[in-house]
Amino acid sequence: MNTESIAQPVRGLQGRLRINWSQVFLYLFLTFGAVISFAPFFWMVTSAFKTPGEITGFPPVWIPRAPTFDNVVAIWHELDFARYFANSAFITITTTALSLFTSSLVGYVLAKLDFWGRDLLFLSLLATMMIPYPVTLVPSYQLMKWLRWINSYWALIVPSLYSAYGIFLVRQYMHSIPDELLDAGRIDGASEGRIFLQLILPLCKPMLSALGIFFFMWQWDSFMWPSIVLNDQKKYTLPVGLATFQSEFVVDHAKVMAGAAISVLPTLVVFLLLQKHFVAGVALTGLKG
Amino acid sequence: MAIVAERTTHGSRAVKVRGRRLMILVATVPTIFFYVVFLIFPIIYSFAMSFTNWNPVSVLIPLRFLGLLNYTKIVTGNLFWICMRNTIYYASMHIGATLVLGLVLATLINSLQYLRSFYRSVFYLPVLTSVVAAGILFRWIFQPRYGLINSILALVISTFGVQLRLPMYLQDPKWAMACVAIMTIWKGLGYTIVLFLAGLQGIPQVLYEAAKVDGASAWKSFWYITVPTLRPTILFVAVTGVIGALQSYVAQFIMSIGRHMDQAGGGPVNSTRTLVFLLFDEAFRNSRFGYASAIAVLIFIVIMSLILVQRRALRTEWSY
Amino acid sequence: MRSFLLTRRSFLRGAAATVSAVLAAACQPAVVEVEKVVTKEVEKVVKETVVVTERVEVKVRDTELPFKYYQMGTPNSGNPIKLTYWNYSSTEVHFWPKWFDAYSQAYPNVTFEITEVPYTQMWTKLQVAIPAGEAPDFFYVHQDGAHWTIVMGGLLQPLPEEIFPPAEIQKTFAALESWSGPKGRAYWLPIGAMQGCLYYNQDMVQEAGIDPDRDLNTWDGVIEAAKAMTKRDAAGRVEQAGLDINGFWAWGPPFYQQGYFLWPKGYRYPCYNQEPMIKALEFFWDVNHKHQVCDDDFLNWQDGFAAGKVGMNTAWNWFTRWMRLNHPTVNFGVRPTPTWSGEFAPATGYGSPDPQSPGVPITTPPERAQVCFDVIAWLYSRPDYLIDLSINKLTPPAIPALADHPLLKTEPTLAPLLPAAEWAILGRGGAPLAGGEYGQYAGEEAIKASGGNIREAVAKGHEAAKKATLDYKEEVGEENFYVFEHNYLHADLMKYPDCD
Repeated sequence: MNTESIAQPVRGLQGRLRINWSQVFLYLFLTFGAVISFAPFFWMVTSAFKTPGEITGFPPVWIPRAPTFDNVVAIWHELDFARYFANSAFITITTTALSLFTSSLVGYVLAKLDFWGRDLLFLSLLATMMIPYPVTLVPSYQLMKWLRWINSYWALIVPSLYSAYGIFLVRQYMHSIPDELLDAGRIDGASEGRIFLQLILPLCKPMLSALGIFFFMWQWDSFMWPSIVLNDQKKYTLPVGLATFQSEFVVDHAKVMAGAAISVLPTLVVFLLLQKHFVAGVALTGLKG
Repeated sequence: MAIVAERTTHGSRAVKVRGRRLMILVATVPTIFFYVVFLIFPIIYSFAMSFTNWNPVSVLIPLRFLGLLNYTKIVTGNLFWICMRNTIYYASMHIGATLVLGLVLATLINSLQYLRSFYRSVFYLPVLTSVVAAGILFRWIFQPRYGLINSILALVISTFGVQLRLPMYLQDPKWAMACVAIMTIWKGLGYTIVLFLAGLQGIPQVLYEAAKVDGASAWKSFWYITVPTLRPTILFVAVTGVIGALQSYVAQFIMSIGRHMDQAGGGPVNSTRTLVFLLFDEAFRNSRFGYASAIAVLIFIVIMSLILVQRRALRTEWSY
Repeated sequence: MRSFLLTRRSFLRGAAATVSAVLAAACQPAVVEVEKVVTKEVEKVVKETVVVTERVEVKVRDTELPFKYYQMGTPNSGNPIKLTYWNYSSTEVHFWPKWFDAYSQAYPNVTFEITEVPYTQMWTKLQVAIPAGEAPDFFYVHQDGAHWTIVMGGLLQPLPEEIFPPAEIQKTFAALESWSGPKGRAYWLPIGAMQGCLYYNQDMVQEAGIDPDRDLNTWDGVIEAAKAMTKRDAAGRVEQAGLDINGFWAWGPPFYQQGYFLWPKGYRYPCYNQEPMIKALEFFWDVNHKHQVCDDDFLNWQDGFAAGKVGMNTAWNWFTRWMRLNHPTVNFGVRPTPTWSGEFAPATGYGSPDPQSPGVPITTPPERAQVCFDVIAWLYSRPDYLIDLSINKLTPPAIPALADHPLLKTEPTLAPLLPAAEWAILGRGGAPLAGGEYGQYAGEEAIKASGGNIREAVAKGHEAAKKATLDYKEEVGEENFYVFEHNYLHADLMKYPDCD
């Protein structure tokens, strides 16, 4: 990947490397930001191995004096951990894949195909994001009851099928794809479906990766709705299961932090896998005029 | 600059293609059906209930039609306006910082020659950090006596021999919301960086090369190439930022839980109580669902107006 | 702490003793006599198959749980039934399975399906599920906020009087009268008296030469002791706080101890603007500003005590469990909340009737509800269960008959609180909205922000609470408004305020 950096090291006439101060400052500045970003995450992960006193202690302990696996073991024993993890994995992967597909399809159509009522539809979708969530809980639950989806995974998967956020994002991104590209495809005789699947989707890899990262994370961490809709403890997803360590007054900090640290691993893995796609689509660079 | 300067049109009408109608139908009809069932229905339900004294957990209080009584009570009370002020204050801090910082950081990271994916990943870590963990740490950071910030400031002050009263942050009504905003900015920056990074991939490198050849400085490249091309993404971040920040309540809740009868959360003198925090309390603590629905309608109106104002202010059309 | 675990083991033995005692007593419908010293022999412990033979002396008071287990025939007529139960998660997730299994051993046709619901979601989940008809057969009740509105909304079935005769229940559970609900019926059994108390750091107390039993009984004594335990650094800032109440201005104890209720007769609206209230708040303000045993910017009552930098704080007694779980190395002790006079009368302050019993929602069909009530009666008539619950929650029982129980006395953080338990006002001190409204103006942070202008803050808070209460009454109707402050067990010792 050959990006022009804003500031580059400059080679002096004698071939010695002259220090480009702007780049040094750049790295320093970014490193400072990296430290601030990393430190709390580090604290959270090491908390899984600290004693409870070290977690809530003042000032915070960064490296446990005597690292212990007790917290992790305790979680494993007290919770049906493997089952919760598997439940979460199933639901998250399913919904992420489905919503990625629907977001890209609808976002594309709203951006690139013109039809009556298009802008109205888009504005309505946008408006649905402006409804505060708590107020829809009671009627939504009632709806689930009528559909007989209480305590079933349908209640978790189906309402997540469409995401106005995702549709909006894809639509915006589609605007940076020139129409000439689509016209070229059409002239070549491809159907709309093929254009979408074979031409557009590959170009959207960066944005879809970003969206995939977000969808995965939001679904994995989703807590309120599953806790309300699921009555069978065996069906609990991981965040709900871990929340049972937070009782009314007495929070079991050791287990909560251990749970948080473990819970973050899949989302981190997904991020690392997908962020490799934040590279420019090769096709775009070839376009002129 | 030809490609960038050209606005994309409303989609191609000129070339008719087979499967176009089908594609539109496949994309829109299920979507509309889905939203009508799963979202429009609950919205209409609660909208209707906002004109009543709906309390689903009471069989003793009969359902009464109240007309606009809920609305007038909300608007004439002062808690709603306090929450409105708090929310807007918070939202402007959050959106401003995440937008500007996000854009700058994304551009900087994207320009690196070495370690680009390392920095990309590190800046995303706050997003992954659990809100609970972040809450614990930031409460430590803002502790007035032993916390990180005041410890450093106290050291600086004592070296200069200055006498200064350090703020009490989360306990001070003037600072509390700003502290919560700092935490959410820290946590939310990763989102905008990721979005802008993804968007930056759509800028052909030839543009930068051409600009350099023309003798443009880094700043000029940024302002005349990067920003205009990223306008769709910037618009997205701004709009979703407004919509999201105006509905924020989890962070405020975590940073300000009161455990006592007279402290129903909401921070010192309600300074960290946001609109949706208020809504949640009214709905699920006080069980006044009708009243809460009215608050929701008002929140919706506020957000919608702000979005429309924003659109006008940026003089952008939706189709960009 | 190690001692806690040992107590558990000896508790099991004691529980076995009481179990067989109750079983023996249940076989003959005998009336328990006054001040009888009984020697029991033990056979088998429920669930844990530990066979112990031991002689245990159990001294019982005159009304040793008059609440007997009245059974209305075999549960569900002997047909198999599976009851669904929701518990809000606690650190005692093993408690309910253990006791439900005990019931199933007695009545094998009844089985249970327990769902642990995360605490923060319990009330939301109930409020969403009950109207939709998806409620469990019964669930663990809690007295706080939203749950109260569920009860007051009439969503629980009243305890049937054949199984729970009101006279017996009221004699057994001190808090019950104050917790009756709509139409004067009882909807669940309040068995605990969680109260505010004084926590002290054993090491600091010893170092300062303080004797807790002698010196920590009055507020003045506490201040003196706090001064002895306060240490400052070179810059004059507090390094070790003698008394830290930052973040926990519990006005209940110093207020109620002066002998006045918050609500006037007739419960029109709360009288926050009383001199006793101002005196209580001024006392709190003086802690940091006059006596200077702590700073405003110091760690709060919880973090400071946990860090071992605080000599004393006042807290609800759940703090014991938190400390044991999260900071087991801190050596601490508990005392009942100090009073102005050193005597518990007229009141020690407010407490909350926690833990409680399960309650049955109105959505449960009668046959199933009958079994649920049977379970509740079976459990709550047994001393061993009640003691187990008390020890599990480390909360003194609001059951006079058990206040002297030797097993409870062996638990060092529970024993000191037992005598004070029945002197705590367990009613609800304010309408749902009034407390929050009041706190906006006269809560700790508001007063600190105003620089200690307490009179003005209280006056404003009073007006706000008054308005909120009157609005609320208008909304729900006068007949659906409930506050139970005056049903305090020793109400004859208290006076009614008179405000505007």
